[in-house]
Amino acid sequence: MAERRPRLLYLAFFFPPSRASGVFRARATANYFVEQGWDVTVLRGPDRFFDEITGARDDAMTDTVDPRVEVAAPEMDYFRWETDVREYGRFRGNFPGAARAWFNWKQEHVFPDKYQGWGTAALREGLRRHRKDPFDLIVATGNPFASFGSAWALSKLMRRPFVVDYRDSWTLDQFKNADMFPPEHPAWKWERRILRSAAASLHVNDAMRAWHAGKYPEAADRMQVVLNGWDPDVVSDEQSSPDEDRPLSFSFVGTLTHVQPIGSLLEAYRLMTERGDHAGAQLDFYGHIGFFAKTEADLKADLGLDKELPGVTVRGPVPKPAIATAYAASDVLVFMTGGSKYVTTGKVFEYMATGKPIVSVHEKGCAAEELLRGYPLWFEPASLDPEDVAAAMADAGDAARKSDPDTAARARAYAQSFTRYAALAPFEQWSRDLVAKRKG
Amino acid sequence: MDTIERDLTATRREVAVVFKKGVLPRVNAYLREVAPRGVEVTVLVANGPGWRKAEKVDGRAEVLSIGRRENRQPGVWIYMMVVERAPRAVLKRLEHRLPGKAGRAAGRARGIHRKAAAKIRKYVFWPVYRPLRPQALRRIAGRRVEALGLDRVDRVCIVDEGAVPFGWMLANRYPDLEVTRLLDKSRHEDLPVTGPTAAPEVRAPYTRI
Repeated sequence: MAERRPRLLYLAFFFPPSRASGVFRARATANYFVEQGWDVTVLRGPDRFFDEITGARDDAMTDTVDPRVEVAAPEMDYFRWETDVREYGRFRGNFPGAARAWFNWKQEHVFPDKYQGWGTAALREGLRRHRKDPFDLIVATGNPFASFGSAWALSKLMRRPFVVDYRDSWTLDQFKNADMFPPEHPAWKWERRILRSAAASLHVNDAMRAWHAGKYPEAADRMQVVLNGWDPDVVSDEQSSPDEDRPLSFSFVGTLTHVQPIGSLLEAYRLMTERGDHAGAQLDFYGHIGFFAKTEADLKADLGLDKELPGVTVRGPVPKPAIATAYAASDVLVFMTGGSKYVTTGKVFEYMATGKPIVSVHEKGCAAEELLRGYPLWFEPASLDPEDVAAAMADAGDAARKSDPDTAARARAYAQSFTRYAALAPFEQWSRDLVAKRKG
Repeated sequence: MDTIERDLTATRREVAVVFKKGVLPRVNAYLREVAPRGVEVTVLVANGPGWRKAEKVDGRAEVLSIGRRENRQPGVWIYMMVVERAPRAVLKRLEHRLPGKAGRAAGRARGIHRKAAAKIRKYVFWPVYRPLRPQALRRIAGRRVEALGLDRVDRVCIVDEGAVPFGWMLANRYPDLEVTRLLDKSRHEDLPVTGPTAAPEVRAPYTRI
C-alpha cells in the first residue's frame, strides 16, 4: 500500500485570485509543499471580499496555483466593510449602535481582529475537513491574524502542531519601529498565547525574528527565518541590453503607498534630467496605487501623481504573469520602500533576479540593504536628499548604458540563491521531519 | 411594497440623511465636490436637541428638517419644558423683575440651574435618549418620505449610524433604491464642473417637513 501523503491545512486569507502583495508567499508555499509530496488544502478569503471590498482581484493569478492544491473560501462577516444598508441584518438594521457594541465586545473578548468572522468560519471548515481526512500540520499566514487564532484553536481541537508565518508583523509597527498596540490591548495576550503553543513561527528577516524573540523569549528557540524570494514563473532571468538610441527607463514596479518617499524620488528625477544626465530618461510607475481600489484616486492625488509631470508615466497595474514585460522595458529599477530594519519587501528579490541596476530610495537601515549589499549593480544614495538620490540614479543610468555582461551575469547568479523555493526548502524539510517524528 | 420608476436621463439626484451633527463637515466637503458638477443633493437633517451649535449645511443643498418634529415628541418635549426651558424662563424673568437681593438670588439660581440642567442633559437625558433616538427618528422620517422625492433619486446616503434604521426601512420599502453608507464623490468625477465652486450664502432656516 502506498504511503499516505502528509496533509497540510494552510490558512491564507490573501490567496489567488487576490492580488494583494502577500499572495506570492502564500502561493509559493502551497505550490512548493504540493510539489514536495504534500496534500495541501488552502482556506482563503471569499471572492466577494476581493471583488467588492478591496477590488483587488487578478484571475490570472489563480491559474498559477498548482491544480493539486485544494482551495476553499469560507464565508465571513463584513461588519467593518459593508456599505450597502440593504445587506445589514435585522439586528444591525434596527439597532446599529448595539450591533457595533457587540462587534467591539467580540474584538475585545474573543479575538482582536476585524477578520474574526472569517477566522471562525475557517475554524469550522478546517474541523469539518479534518473529520473527513485528518491533517498532519496546520500553517497560518498573517495578516489577517485571525488566521493565527484559528490555527491555535484548530491545533487544540485537532491535536496537531501548528506554525504561524509572520508575513507581516502583528504587534510591531514595522514602519515606525514601535509597538502597534497599547500594553493592555488583547493582541499581546493572544500573541503570547499563540507563540507559546506554536511548533514554530516564521519571520521574513532576522530583525523581525530578533524582535519577536526579545518580546517572547519562551518561544525564541522555535522561531525561524524564511525569507521572501522571487518567483521564476514571474520574472524572466533572460538579459536584455538597452538600445543605445532610446532614452533610459527608470521604473518602479510594485504597489505605491503612503509610506514610500515618492516626493524625494520625483524631485531627484527632475534634478537628474534638468542637469542633462540621461537626457530624455523616463520615470515609469508600474503597479497599483494603494491596496484598495476605492481609495486609489485619493492616494494618487496625495502622492502628487494626479497631475501631469514631464517624463513621468503612471502605467498602472500589470498582471503578475505579465510583469516580466515591465521589467524588460526597464533599464534601471527604483527600489522605493518606506523601509525600516524590519522591512525587506518581496519586491527586492524580483528586482535582483532581473540582473538590472537597482537604485535604492528609502531610509538607511532598511532590512533589504543586507540583501542588496551583495548585489553588484546596487546604487545606494548617501541620503534621501533629492540631490543624493539624483546622483545615485545617474550612476545607475550609467551602469545600464554600459551594459557589462559579466557584471549582469554576476548579479543574476547572486539572485539565483533567492528564489521562493530556495527560501522555503528548509522549512518544508523541517515540517516533514516534524510530521514524521509525531507519527513515530 | 413600493417600487420606484426612475428617469435615468435626468440630473443626478441624491439624498443624504444626517441625524448626527458631527458628520456635517464631511457632508459639506462632499457637497463642495459634487454640487459644482450639477449633482442635486437633498440633505435630511434631524436638527433637534443638541444642534444649536451645529455647522450649517452648504447652501447649494436643499435641506429638509425634521428637528421640530423631533422636539415635539412627548418625552423630549416634556424633558425640555420641565427641566430646561420653563425654569430658565421663570428664573430669567425673576432676575430682571425682582428688585435688590431677591433679583440677585434669582440670578444665582439661574446660574445654578444652567449648570444643573447641563449635567442632567449629559448624564440623564442623553444616555436615555441616545439609544432610542435612531428608532424615534426612523418613525418621524418614515412618515415624511414623500418630501424626499425618492422617485427622482439615484441613491440615499446614510451618513451616520443613527440614521441606519431609517435607511434600512427605506431599503426594505423600496427594493430598487440604492441605500448606502458611502458618500462617494468618485461616482461623479465623470461630470464636468459647470457651477460655481464657491459656496453661496447658507440657506436658513431649513425647510421643515
